[in-house]
Amino acid sequence: MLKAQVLESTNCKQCNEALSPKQKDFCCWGCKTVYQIIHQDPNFELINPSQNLKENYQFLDDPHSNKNYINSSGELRIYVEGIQCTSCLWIIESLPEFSKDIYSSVLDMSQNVVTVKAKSYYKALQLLAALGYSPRPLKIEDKAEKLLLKSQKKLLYKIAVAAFCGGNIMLLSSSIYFGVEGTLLRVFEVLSFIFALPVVTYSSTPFYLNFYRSLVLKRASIDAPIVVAIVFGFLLSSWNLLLESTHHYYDSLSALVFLLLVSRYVLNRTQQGVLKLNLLENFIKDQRLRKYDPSTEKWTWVSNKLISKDDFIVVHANEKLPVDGQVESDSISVNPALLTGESLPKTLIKKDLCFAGTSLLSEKAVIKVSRMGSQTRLGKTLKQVEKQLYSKTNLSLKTDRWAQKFTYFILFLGALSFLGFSFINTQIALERTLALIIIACPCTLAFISPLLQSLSIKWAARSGFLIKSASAFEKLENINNIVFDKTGTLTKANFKVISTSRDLTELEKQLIFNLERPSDHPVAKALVQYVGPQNIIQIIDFKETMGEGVSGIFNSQNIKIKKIMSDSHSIGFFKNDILEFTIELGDELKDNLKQQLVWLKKHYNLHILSGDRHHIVERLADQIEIPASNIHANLLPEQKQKIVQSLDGVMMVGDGANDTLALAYSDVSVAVNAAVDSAVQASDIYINKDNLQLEKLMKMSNYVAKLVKTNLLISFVYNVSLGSLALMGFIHPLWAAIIMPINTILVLGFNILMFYKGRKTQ
Amino acid sequence: MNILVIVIPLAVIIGLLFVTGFIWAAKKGQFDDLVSPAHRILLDDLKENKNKKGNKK
Repeated sequence: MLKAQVLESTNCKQCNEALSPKQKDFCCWGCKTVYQIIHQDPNFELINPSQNLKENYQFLDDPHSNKNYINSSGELRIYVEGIQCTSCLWIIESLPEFSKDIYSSVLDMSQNVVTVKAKSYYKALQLLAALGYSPRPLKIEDKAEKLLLKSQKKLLYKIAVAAFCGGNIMLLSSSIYFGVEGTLLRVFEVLSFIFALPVVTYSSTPFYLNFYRSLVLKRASIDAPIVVAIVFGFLLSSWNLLLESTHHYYDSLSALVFLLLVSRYVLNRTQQGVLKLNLLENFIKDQRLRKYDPSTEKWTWVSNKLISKDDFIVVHANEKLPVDGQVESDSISVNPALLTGESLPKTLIKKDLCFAGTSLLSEKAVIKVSRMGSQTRLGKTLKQVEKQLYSKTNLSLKTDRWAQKFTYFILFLGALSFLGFSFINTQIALERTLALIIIACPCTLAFISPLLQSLSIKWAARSGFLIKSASAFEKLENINNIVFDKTGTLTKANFKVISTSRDLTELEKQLIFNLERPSDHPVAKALVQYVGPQNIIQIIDFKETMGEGVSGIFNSQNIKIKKIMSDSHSIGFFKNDILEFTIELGDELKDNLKQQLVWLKKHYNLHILSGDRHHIVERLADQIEIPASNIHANLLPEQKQKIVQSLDGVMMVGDGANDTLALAYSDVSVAVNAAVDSAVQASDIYINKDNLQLEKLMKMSNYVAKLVKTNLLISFVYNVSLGSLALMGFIHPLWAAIIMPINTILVLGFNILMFYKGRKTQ
Repeated sequence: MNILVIVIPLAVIIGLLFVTGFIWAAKKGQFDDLVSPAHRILLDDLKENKNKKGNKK
């Protein structure tokens, strides 16, 4: 019993997993919820779902607009953030017990994807959100994506065939090496040939395909030397077989194919496939809207296809506006943070323009539609992002380019030596050239770097960085500039009181508390939080004016708390219309932000690009000590993109719809926790934990880059020295075939050792 | 050495059986998710725990 109590402080109460210092009692929401259910905690309460639902997903229950999401067997796939352990699995798979509207839910922990069958999919999302996870529904894969998934499976078959054939060939070859003679020798050789056939014709097809593709696209590819080694090795071995010579290399050839296939399969598996596929489509295309009839003041749900210009729609609190339009309510309050990066809520009055993507703070708004879908300001930006992302894919890796150059060099040398030696003796020329090619083939590189990358990606995922492709990880090494968005990236979404013009008396605190408590406005919440819980006092004639402030009468004094100027972060406290003091509001920095930036500042140029106003951004930059020359405020998404494009080796870190363009155009893009779907889609890396520990990521990438360079150096020295020996005829092709796999295993062991050593020290 | 005529084909056939078995398993999705089943096996315990608690009350 005593032991259990000691454990509680450092391990999760439910699953006993070790906790990070920041976590208290539980490692994840799943554990907390399970613990509370099992122990029937009276404090148990599902948290407010809207907090974790990033978009309005109600359209999922509308059979007209959910076609892109629900597959033919009625299943919806949902990407869920925050999955940690068995408790999460239990809680998510018991969703049907919480609601009769959900028939089944199955979690795939390797992908963090839940497959749900339900009457109401929205209910499932709400439940997931209420349990503390952030769910994002995934679209059904299109044809190309299905093909991609299928090819991954086929790779597994190919590995199996290569393993079977390769294993048999090795057994046969070793008996040949140990001196089988006569007819048995012939039989073994022919058998080796037969086993090598499927390896060359079936298992190696991915290399042929990639080689062909890289030829068409005129891009560097590491598959060129591999294809050369496979084809030449096979042809020459078979030629030797016909000539009744015992020199064949079927064994090393099939081992090579097997190892390469395995390394690729592992890399494919570890890359964040779900996020990579374009399944995270923006909400803007499939939406269900409340169509409003001004004459009867009633609304009905309709698919967005049935809405046209000048129709009226209703939006409720905490939802995002689905269209660009004109405000028809008298006054509404919106939070434009995700669209423009402004931190302060905005008040719009009748006839003001409002834009899709801003979220509504006031209770209800009627909007006259002017533009919708991809015609909206947000929609246009997203279209541009999509175009850019399309052209950005398929960048080749640096190691691949090196290997390519290397191969050309080796092939050139081989051709030269063949020509040179063929004047003396064709047989010798053939043997020496082949020995050169087999030894010098940069195949070690071809599978060491994918393995290193998949190890790093796995490591990064544990620390909360989901990396979509290996090339993004590699590119981290070349980063000089890191560009941050402000709102939501450096700061928390809510803001707080920064300073007051003088110390407040107890009575004033009580007045603020009692006046602001009834209001739902974020400013009011910040003020209430600042003064803390106070005694209730009697206030009469309480009034809240949208976009202005609150007022009331206490002890026959007229108290007003309102904005001093419009568009400012200063709040004034008025007694009988005389200003008593002012309160300065600002956005709150993320926890430990300053500390997290210390190392980054030393090694990179940090910039801040924000859509917020100048003085706000400047004050924040002052706090975290970023020079004024690196700060840009008041930016439109297009201006952000231009600045990002003008920088060299740039990493963009953002979260909002206004960052997506800049994200798409940067060399490496990072979306932070709670980013909108489109930002996640536009990014190479997604941070799914609530911190900005880029330092860890950068250090690791630098370490791995160093390791890859060491490998390049080693293989270069090795290839040149042994290659020249082979050319001079000191190395028989048979020995070359034996040395190669030994070398491979040594290099592999060295790399894995170094990787884990690096992981410990970083 | 004549026994090799039987042993080698036999070995190949056994090998082939395993390969087809593996491919069949892969096709059925055995290797799609290697993480959750390891956790799922622990789940019954959790559910029982819950029931026990419920019965006591």
